[in-house]
Amino acid sequence: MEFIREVAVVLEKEILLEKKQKTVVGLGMFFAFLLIFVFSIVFMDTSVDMRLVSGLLWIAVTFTIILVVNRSLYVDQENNCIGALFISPVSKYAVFWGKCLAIFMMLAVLQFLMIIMFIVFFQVVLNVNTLGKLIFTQLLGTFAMSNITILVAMMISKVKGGEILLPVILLPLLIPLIISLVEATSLILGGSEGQLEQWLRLIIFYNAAVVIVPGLFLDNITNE
Amino acid sequence: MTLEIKEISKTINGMQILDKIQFTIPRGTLTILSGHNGAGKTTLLKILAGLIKPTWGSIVWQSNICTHNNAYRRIVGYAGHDLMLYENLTARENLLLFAKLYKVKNPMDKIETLGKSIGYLTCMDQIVANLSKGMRQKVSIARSLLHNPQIVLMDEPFTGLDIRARERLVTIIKDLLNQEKHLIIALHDIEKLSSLAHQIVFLNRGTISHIEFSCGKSEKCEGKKLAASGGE
Repeated sequence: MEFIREVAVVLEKEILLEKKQKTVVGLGMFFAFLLIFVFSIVFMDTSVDMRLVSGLLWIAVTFTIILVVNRSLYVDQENNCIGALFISPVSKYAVFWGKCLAIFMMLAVLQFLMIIMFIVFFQVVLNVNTLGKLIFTQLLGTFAMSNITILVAMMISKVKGGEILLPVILLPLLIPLIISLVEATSLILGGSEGQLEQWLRLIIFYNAAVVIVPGLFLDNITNE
Repeated sequence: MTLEIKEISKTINGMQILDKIQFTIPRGTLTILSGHNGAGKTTLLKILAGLIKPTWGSIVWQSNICTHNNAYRRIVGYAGHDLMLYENLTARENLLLFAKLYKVKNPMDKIETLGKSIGYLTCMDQIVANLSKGMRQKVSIARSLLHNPQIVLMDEPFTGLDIRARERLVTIIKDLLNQEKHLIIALHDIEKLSSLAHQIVFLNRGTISHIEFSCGKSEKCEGKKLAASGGE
Protein backbone atom coordinates (compact mmCIF):
# COMPACT_ATOMS: atom_id res chain seq x y z
CA MET A 1 0.00 0.00 0.00
CA GLU A 2 2.85 2.35 0.89
CA PHE A 3 4.45 1.70 -2.51
CA ILE A 4 1.19 2.55 -4.27
CA ARG A 5 0.90 5.78 -2.25
CA GLU A 6 4.45 6.74 -3.23
CA VAL A 7 3.81 5.95 -6.90
CA ALA A 8 0.63 8.04 -6.71
CA VAL A 9 2.54 11.04 -5.27
CA VAL A 10 5.12 10.90 -8.08
CA LEU A 11 2.37 10.37 -10.66
CA GLU A 12 0.51 13.41 -9.32
CA LYS A 13 3.70 15.47 -9.52
CA GLU A 14 4.25 14.43 -13.16
CA ILE A 15 0.68 15.32 -14.10
CA LEU A 16 0.96 18.69 -12.33
CA LEU A 17 4.19 19.40 -14.23
CA GLU A 18 2.55 18.37 -17.50
CA LYS A 19 -0.35 20.72 -16.78
CA LYS A 20 2.12 23.56 -16.35
CA GLN A 21 4.62 22.74 -19.08
CA LYS A 22 2.51 20.88 -21.63
CA THR A 23 5.44 18.74 -22.74
CA VAL A 24 3.35 15.89 -24.13
CA VAL A 25 0.26 17.83 -25.13
CA GLY A 26 2.19 20.74 -26.60
CA LEU A 27 5.64 19.65 -27.68
CA GLY A 28 4.88 15.94 -28.24
CA MET A 29 1.68 16.47 -30.15
CA PHE A 30 3.14 19.22 -32.31
CA PHE A 31 6.16 17.05 -33.14
CA ALA A 32 3.98 14.01 -33.93
CA PHE A 33 1.68 16.08 -36.10
CA LEU A 34 4.65 17.56 -37.94
CA LEU A 35 6.17 14.13 -38.62
CA ILE A 36 2.90 12.61 -39.82
CA PHE A 37 2.20 15.66 -41.97
CA VAL A 38 5.66 15.45 -43.59
CA PHE A 39 5.22 11.70 -44.18
CA SER A 40 1.83 12.29 -45.77
CA ILE A 41 3.29 14.88 -48.14
CA VAL A 42 6.24 12.63 -49.08
CA PHE A 43 3.92 9.73 -49.88
CA MET A 44 1.10 11.83 -51.31
CA ASP A 45 1.28 10.51 -54.88
CA THR A 46 2.43 7.02 -53.93
CA SER A 47 0.16 4.11 -53.25
CA VAL A 48 0.99 3.19 -49.66
CA ASP A 49 0.57 -0.31 -48.35
CA MET A 50 -0.22 -1.07 -44.70
CA ARG A 51 3.32 -2.17 -43.96
CA LEU A 52 4.62 1.26 -44.90
CA VAL A 53 1.90 3.00 -42.87
CA SER A 54 2.80 0.85 -39.84
CA GLY A 55 6.48 1.67 -40.27
CA LEU A 56 5.78 5.38 -40.50
CA LEU A 57 3.45 5.23 -37.49
CA TRP A 58 6.08 3.57 -35.30
CA ILE A 59 8.85 5.89 -36.50
CA ALA A 60 6.66 8.79 -35.43
CA VAL A 61 5.86 7.11 -32.10
CA THR A 62 9.50 6.24 -31.36
CA PHE A 63 10.84 9.73 -31.96
CA THR A 64 7.95 11.33 -30.09
CA ILE A 65 8.65 9.11 -27.07
CA ILE A 66 12.37 9.98 -27.16
CA LEU A 67 11.51 13.69 -27.31
CA VAL A 68 8.96 13.53 -24.49
CA VAL A 69 11.12 11.39 -22.18
CA ASN A 70 14.19 13.55 -22.79
CA ARG A 71 12.24 16.67 -21.92
CA SER A 72 10.64 15.10 -18.88
CA LEU A 73 13.99 13.94 -17.48
CA TYR A 74 15.55 17.32 -18.20
CA VAL A 75 12.93 18.91 -15.93
CA ASP A 76 13.80 16.44 -13.17
CA GLN A 77 17.51 17.11 -13.53
CA GLU A 78 17.13 20.86 -13.49
CA ASN A 79 18.16 21.99 -9.97
CA ASN A 80 18.81 18.29 -9.22
CA CYS A 81 15.16 17.68 -8.35
CA ILE A 82 15.67 14.00 -9.13
CA GLY A 83 18.28 13.99 -6.36
CA ALA A 84 15.70 15.37 -3.94
CA LEU A 85 13.34 12.56 -4.90
CA PHE A 86 16.03 9.92 -4.40
CA ILE A 87 17.10 11.18 -0.97
CA SER A 88 13.51 11.27 0.22
CA PRO A 89 12.19 8.15 1.97
CA VAL A 90 10.27 7.27 -1.17
CA SER A 91 11.45 4.08 -2.87
CA LYS A 92 13.48 4.55 -6.04
CA TYR A 93 11.17 2.10 -7.77
CA ALA A 94 8.21 4.27 -6.82
CA VAL A 95 9.92 7.27 -8.42
CA PHE A 96 10.62 5.22 -11.55
CA TRP A 97 7.16 3.69 -11.82
CA GLY A 98 5.42 6.96 -11.01
CA LYS A 99 7.26 8.55 -13.88
CA CYS A 100 6.68 5.59 -16.21
CA LEU A 101 2.96 5.47 -15.50
CA ALA A 102 2.54 9.22 -15.94
CA ILE A 103 4.40 9.25 -19.25
CA PHE A 104 2.58 6.13 -20.43
CA MET A 105 -0.81 7.65 -19.64
CA MET A 106 0.01 10.86 -21.44
CA LEU A 107 1.53 9.05 -24.41
CA ALA A 108 -1.48 6.74 -24.63
CA VAL A 109 -3.70 9.76 -25.21
CA LEU A 110 -1.20 11.13 -27.71
CA GLN A 111 -1.07 7.76 -29.52
CA PHE A 112 -4.83 7.77 -29.91
CA LEU A 113 -4.60 11.17 -31.56
CA MET A 114 -1.75 9.94 -33.75
CA ILE A 115 -3.85 7.01 -34.96
CA ILE A 116 -6.60 9.46 -35.89
CA MET A 117 -4.04 11.60 -37.74
CA PHE A 118 -2.83 8.54 -39.67
CA ILE A 119 -6.39 7.53 -40.53
CA VAL A 120 -7.03 11.04 -41.86
CA PHE A 121 -3.74 11.63 -43.68
CA PHE A 122 -3.29 8.12 -45.12
CA GLN A 123 -6.97 7.34 -45.60
CA VAL A 124 -6.78 4.11 -43.63
CA VAL A 125 -10.10 2.30 -43.34
CA LEU A 126 -10.68 0.63 -39.96
CA ASN A 127 -13.58 -1.26 -38.44
CA VAL A 128 -14.25 -1.38 -34.69
CA ASN A 129 -12.58 -4.79 -34.28
CA THR A 130 -9.41 -3.67 -36.08
CA LEU A 131 -9.35 -0.41 -34.14
CA GLY A 132 -9.57 -2.30 -30.85
CA LYS A 133 -6.66 -4.58 -31.79
CA LEU A 134 -4.68 -1.63 -33.05
CA ILE A 135 -5.16 0.31 -29.81
CA PHE A 136 -4.22 -2.78 -27.77
CA THR A 137 -0.98 -3.19 -29.74
CA GLN A 138 -0.26 0.52 -29.49
CA LEU A 139 -0.68 0.46 -25.72
CA LEU A 140 1.58 -2.57 -25.32
CA GLY A 141 4.21 -1.02 -27.58
CA THR A 142 4.06 2.37 -25.89
CA PHE A 143 4.34 0.87 -22.41
CA ALA A 144 7.43 -1.15 -23.32
CA MET A 145 9.02 1.58 -25.41
CA SER A 146 8.48 4.43 -22.94
CA ASN A 147 9.75 2.38 -19.99
CA ILE A 148 12.92 1.31 -21.81
CA THR A 149 13.47 4.91 -22.90
CA ILE A 150 13.07 6.21 -19.33
CA LEU A 151 15.43 3.55 -17.96
CA VAL A 152 18.13 4.21 -20.56
CA ALA A 153 17.70 7.98 -20.23
CA MET A 154 18.17 7.67 -16.45
CA MET A 155 21.24 5.49 -16.95
CA ILE A 156 22.97 7.99 -19.18
CA SER A 157 21.62 11.10 -17.48
CA LYS A 158 24.89 11.64 -15.57
CA VAL A 159 26.93 11.42 -18.77
CA LYS A 160 27.78 14.72 -20.39
CA GLY A 161 25.65 15.13 -23.50
CA GLY A 162 23.50 12.17 -22.47
CA GLU A 163 20.46 13.49 -24.31
CA ILE A 164 22.38 13.26 -27.60
CA LEU A 165 23.59 9.76 -26.77
CA LEU A 166 20.09 8.56 -25.93
CA PRO A 167 18.89 7.66 -29.45
CA VAL A 168 22.25 6.06 -30.28
CA ILE A 169 22.08 3.72 -27.28
CA LEU A 170 18.33 3.30 -27.23
CA LEU A 171 17.49 2.49 -30.85
CA PRO A 172 19.54 -0.75 -31.08
CA LEU A 173 17.73 -1.97 -27.94
CA LEU A 174 14.39 -1.11 -29.48
CA ILE A 175 14.96 -2.65 -32.93
CA PRO A 176 13.40 -6.08 -32.16
CA LEU A 177 10.46 -4.36 -30.47
CA ILE A 178 9.96 -1.92 -33.35
CA ILE A 179 10.09 -4.75 -35.91
CA SER A 180 7.49 -6.71 -33.91
CA LEU A 181 5.26 -3.67 -33.57
CA VAL A 182 5.50 -2.79 -37.27
CA GLU A 183 4.74 -6.39 -38.26
CA ALA A 184 1.85 -6.70 -35.81
CA THR A 185 0.38 -3.34 -36.82
CA SER A 186 0.63 -4.09 -40.54
CA LEU A 187 -1.07 -7.46 -40.02
CA ILE A 188 -3.87 -5.78 -38.07
CA LEU A 189 -4.30 -3.00 -40.64
CA GLY A 190 -4.09 -5.49 -43.53
CA GLY A 191 -6.70 -7.74 -41.97
CA SER A 192 -4.54 -10.88 -42.26
CA GLU A 193 -3.76 -11.93 -38.73
CA GLY A 194 -1.95 -15.20 -39.43
CA GLN A 195 1.23 -14.49 -37.54
CA LEU A 196 -0.13 -11.77 -35.28
CA GLU A 197 0.04 -13.93 -32.17
CA GLN A 198 3.72 -14.63 -32.76
CA TRP A 199 4.60 -10.93 -32.94
CA LEU A 200 2.38 -10.10 -29.99
CA ARG A 201 4.27 -12.67 -27.92
CA LEU A 202 7.53 -10.86 -28.56
CA ILE A 203 5.91 -7.54 -27.65
CA ILE A 204 4.54 -9.04 -24.43
CA PHE A 205 8.00 -10.46 -23.68
CA TYR A 206 9.40 -6.91 -23.96
CA ASN A 207 6.68 -5.69 -21.60
CA ALA A 208 7.58 -8.37 -19.07
CA ALA A 209 11.25 -7.44 -19.39
CA VAL A 210 10.61 -3.76 -18.70
CA VAL A 211 8.85 -4.70 -15.49
CA ILE A 212 11.75 -6.90 -14.28
CA VAL A 213 14.93 -5.26 -15.64
CA PRO A 214 14.65 -1.84 -13.90
CA GLY A 215 14.81 -3.65 -10.56
CA LEU A 216 18.30 -4.86 -11.44
CA PHE A 217 19.70 -1.47 -12.40
CA LEU A 218 17.82 1.26 -10.55
CA ASP A 219 19.87 1.19 -7.38
CA ASN A 220 23.09 1.85 -9.27
CA ILE A 221 21.95 4.28 -11.89
CA THR A 222 20.43 6.75 -9.50
CA ASN A 223 23.59 7.62 -7.60
CA GLU A 224 25.70 10.57 -8.66
CA MET B 1 22.19 9.96 19.86
CA THR B 2 25.37 10.63 17.95
CA LEU B 3 26.06 10.59 14.28
CA GLU B 4 29.41 9.02 13.47
CA ILE B 5 31.26 9.38 10.24
CA LYS B 6 33.64 6.44 10.01
CA GLU B 7 36.57 6.42 7.61
CA ILE B 8 34.58 7.79 4.70
CA SER B 9 36.51 7.78 1.44
CA LYS B 10 35.33 8.68 -2.02
CA THR B 11 37.07 8.20 -5.32
CA ILE B 12 35.58 9.64 -8.51
CA ASN B 13 37.18 8.76 -11.87
CA GLY B 14 40.36 7.67 -10.12
CA MET B 15 40.59 10.90 -8.14
CA GLN B 16 40.58 10.70 -4.37
CA ILE B 17 37.99 13.27 -3.30
CA LEU B 18 37.74 12.19 0.35
CA ASP B 19 40.24 10.12 2.29
CA LYS B 20 39.28 8.39 5.55
CA ILE B 21 37.16 11.19 6.98
CA GLN B 22 36.21 10.40 10.55
CA PHE B 23 34.49 12.47 13.22
CA THR B 24 31.44 12.43 15.46
CA ILE B 25 28.50 14.81 15.62
CA PRO B 26 26.81 14.77 19.05
CA ARG B 27 23.13 15.60 19.48
CA GLY B 28 22.20 19.28 19.62
CA THR B 29 25.45 20.51 18.13
CA LEU B 30 26.55 22.41 15.09
CA THR B 31 29.50 21.15 13.06
CA ILE B 32 30.95 23.49 10.49
CA LEU B 33 32.81 22.04 7.52
CA SER B 34 35.40 24.45 6.27
CA GLY B 35 38.14 24.38 3.68
CA HIS B 36 39.23 25.69 0.32
CA ASN B 37 37.38 25.04 -2.92
CA GLY B 38 37.71 21.38 -3.82
CA ALA B 39 38.48 20.34 -0.25
CA GLY B 40 35.60 17.84 -0.30
CA LYS B 41 32.97 19.64 1.81
CA THR B 42 30.13 19.28 -0.69
CA THR B 43 31.02 15.66 -1.47
CA LEU B 44 30.96 14.81 2.23
CA LEU B 45 27.57 16.49 2.65
CA LYS B 46 26.23 14.65 -0.40
CA ILE B 47 27.38 11.35 1.08
CA LEU B 48 25.70 12.20 4.38
CA ALA B 49 22.53 13.17 2.50
CA GLY B 50 22.51 9.92 0.54
CA LEU B 51 23.06 11.51 -2.86
CA ILE B 52 26.37 9.71 -3.30
CA LYS B 53 27.56 6.36 -2.00
CA PRO B 54 30.97 6.40 -0.33
CA THR B 55 33.68 4.25 -1.90
CA TRP B 56 34.67 3.17 1.57
CA GLY B 57 33.50 3.80 5.12
CA SER B 58 30.14 4.18 6.76
CA ILE B 59 27.74 6.45 8.56
CA VAL B 60 26.70 5.23 11.98
CA TRP B 61 23.45 6.48 13.46
CA GLN B 62 22.32 5.27 16.88
CA SER B 63 24.99 2.55 16.79
CA ASN B 64 23.66 1.18 13.48
CA ILE B 65 25.45 1.37 10.18
CA CYS B 66 22.96 3.00 7.86
CA THR B 67 23.53 2.64 4.17
CA HIS B 68 21.01 5.30 3.37
CA ASN B 69 18.03 3.18 4.20
CA ASN B 70 14.53 4.63 4.31
CA ALA B 71 14.62 5.19 8.08
CA TYR B 72 17.83 7.23 7.74
CA ARG B 73 16.56 9.22 4.77
CA ARG B 74 13.47 10.17 6.74
CA ILE B 75 15.56 11.94 9.42
CA VAL B 76 17.90 13.82 7.08
CA GLY B 77 17.20 17.27 5.64
CA TYR B 78 19.57 18.52 2.96
CA ALA B 79 19.86 22.00 1.45
CA GLY B 80 22.69 21.84 -1.05
CA HIS B 81 24.08 23.98 -3.86
CA ASP B 82 21.30 22.69 -6.10
CA LEU B 83 17.95 24.10 -5.09
CA MET B 84 16.12 20.81 -5.67
CA LEU B 85 12.98 22.72 -6.62
CA TYR B 86 10.90 22.38 -9.78
CA GLU B 87 11.21 25.60 -11.75
CA ASN B 88 7.70 25.47 -13.20
CA LEU B 89 5.89 24.79 -9.95
CA THR B 90 5.10 27.47 -7.39
CA ALA B 91 6.93 27.54 -4.06
CA ARG B 92 3.78 26.17 -2.39
CA GLU B 93 3.38 23.34 -4.92
CA ASN B 94 7.04 22.38 -4.52
CA LEU B 95 6.81 22.31 -0.75
CA LEU B 96 3.52 20.39 -0.83
CA LEU B 97 5.10 17.79 -3.09
CA PHE B 98 8.00 17.22 -0.70
CA ALA B 99 5.62 17.26 2.28
CA LYS B 100 3.74 14.40 0.64
CA LEU B 101 6.95 12.50 -0.10
CA TYR B 102 7.94 12.77 3.58
CA LYS B 103 4.37 12.20 4.83
CA VAL B 104 4.34 15.49 6.75
CA LYS B 105 1.22 15.92 8.88
CA ASN B 106 -0.69 19.20 8.41
CA PRO B 107 1.64 20.25 5.56
CA MET B 108 -0.04 23.61 4.94
CA ASP B 109 0.42 24.68 8.56
CA LYS B 110 4.05 23.60 8.46
CA ILE B 111 4.65 25.48 5.19
CA GLU B 112 3.04 28.62 6.64
CA THR B 113 5.05 28.38 9.87
CA LEU B 114 8.32 27.94 8.00
CA GLY B 115 7.30 30.72 5.64
CA LYS B 116 6.95 33.11 8.55
CA SER B 117 10.26 32.18 10.15
CA ILE B 118 12.30 32.02 6.92
CA GLY B 119 10.43 34.81 5.18
CA TYR B 120 9.10 33.55 1.87
CA LEU B 121 5.36 33.95 2.51
CA THR B 122 5.00 36.72 -0.05
CA CYS B 123 6.18 34.52 -2.90
CA MET B 124 4.34 31.31 -2.04
CA ASP B 125 2.21 31.34 -5.17
CA GLN B 126 4.86 32.41 -7.64
CA ILE B 127 6.60 29.83 -9.81
CA VAL B 128 10.17 29.17 -8.71
CA ALA B 129 11.55 30.27 -12.10
CA ASN B 130 10.30 33.81 -11.37
CA LEU B 131 11.83 34.04 -7.89
CA SER B 132 15.00 35.88 -7.01
CA LYS B 133 18.07 33.88 -6.00
CA GLY B 134 17.58 34.72 -2.34
CA MET B 135 13.91 33.70 -2.35
CA ARG B 136 14.76 30.43 -4.09
CA GLN B 137 17.37 29.76 -1.43
CA LYS B 138 14.78 30.41 1.31
CA VAL B 139 12.30 27.99 -0.27
CA SER B 140 15.07 25.43 -0.67
CA ILE B 141 15.96 25.73 3.02
CA ALA B 142 12.26 25.35 3.88
CA ARG B 143 12.15 22.17 1.75
CA SER B 144 15.00 20.71 3.75
CA LEU B 145 13.34 21.50 7.10
CA LEU B 146 9.77 20.61 6.17
CA HIS B 147 9.78 17.11 7.65
CA ASN B 148 11.42 18.20 10.92
CA PRO B 149 14.63 16.23 10.28
CA GLN B 150 16.91 15.17 13.11
CA ILE B 151 20.02 15.65 10.95
CA VAL B 152 20.21 18.93 9.06
CA LEU B 153 22.80 19.35 6.31
CA MET B 154 23.36 22.72 4.64
CA ASP B 155 25.85 23.68 1.98
CA GLU B 156 26.65 27.41 2.01
CA PRO B 157 23.13 28.30 3.17
CA PHE B 158 23.82 32.05 3.34
CA THR B 159 24.48 32.31 -0.41
CA GLY B 160 22.15 34.84 -2.01
CA LEU B 161 20.49 35.89 1.25
CA ASP B 162 20.19 39.53 2.28
CA ILE B 163 21.24 40.73 5.75
CA ARG B 164 17.75 40.30 7.25
CA ALA B 165 17.40 36.81 5.80
CA ARG B 166 20.84 35.88 7.15
CA GLU B 167 19.80 36.98 10.62
CA ARG B 168 16.62 34.94 10.28
CA LEU B 169 18.62 31.91 9.23
CA VAL B 170 20.92 32.27 12.24
CA THR B 171 17.80 32.37 14.45
CA ILE B 172 16.49 29.23 12.77
CA ILE B 173 19.83 27.49 13.33
CA LYS B 174 19.70 28.47 17.02
CA ASP B 175 16.16 27.06 17.22
CA LEU B 176 17.32 23.82 15.60
CA LEU B 177 20.12 23.55 18.14
CA ASN B 178 17.62 24.12 20.95
CA GLN B 179 15.59 21.28 19.48
CA GLU B 180 18.65 19.03 19.87
CA LYS B 181 19.19 18.51 16.13
CA HIS B 182 22.45 17.45 14.56
CA LEU B 183 23.58 20.28 12.29
CA ILE B 184 26.35 20.07 9.72
CA ILE B 185 26.94 23.17 7.66
CA ALA B 186 29.58 23.72 4.99
CA LEU B 187 30.81 27.32 5.08
CA HIS B 188 33.64 29.33 3.64
CA ASP B 189 33.03 32.25 5.92
CA ILE B 190 33.01 30.43 9.26
CA GLU B 191 32.72 33.63 11.31
CA LYS B 192 29.00 33.77 10.56
CA LEU B 193 28.31 30.77 12.75
CA SER B 194 31.51 30.07 14.67
CA SER B 195 30.01 31.33 17.92
CA LEU B 196 27.34 28.62 17.68
CA ALA B 197 29.63 25.84 16.49
CA HIS B 198 30.57 22.88 18.61
CA GLN B 199 33.34 21.92 16.23
CA ILE B 200 34.85 23.19 13.05
CA VAL B 201 36.20 20.50 10.77
CA PHE B 202 38.86 21.83 8.42
CA LEU B 203 39.17 19.83 5.23
CA ASN B 204 42.13 20.01 2.92
CA ARG B 205 42.28 18.03 -0.32
CA GLY B 206 39.90 15.41 0.97
CA THR B 207 41.44 14.89 4.39
CA ILE B 208 40.78 16.46 7.77
CA SER B 209 43.62 18.85 8.44
CA HIS B 210 42.39 19.60 11.96
CA ILE B 211 39.27 19.95 14.09
CA GLU B 212 38.73 22.85 16.44
CA PHE B 213 36.31 22.42 19.32
CA SER B 214 34.49 25.18 21.16
CA CYS B 215 35.42 24.95 24.82
CA GLY B 216 32.62 24.95 27.33
CA LYS B 217 30.09 23.71 24.79
CA SER B 218 30.84 20.07 24.94
CA GLU B 219 32.56 17.48 27.03
CA LYS B 220 34.48 16.61 23.94
CA CYS B 221 36.47 19.82 24.26
CA GLU B 222 40.09 19.02 23.74
CA GLY B 223 41.47 22.30 24.96
CA LYS B 224 41.90 23.72 21.49
CA LYS B 225 40.77 27.25 20.87
CA LEU B 226 38.02 28.14 18.49
CA ALA B 227 40.19 30.30 16.32
CA ALA B 228 37.59 32.14 14.33
CA SER B 229 35.48 33.15 17.33
CA GLY B 230 38.39 33.73 19.57
CA GLY B 231 36.92 31.23 22.03
CA GLU B 232 38.45 30.71 25.39
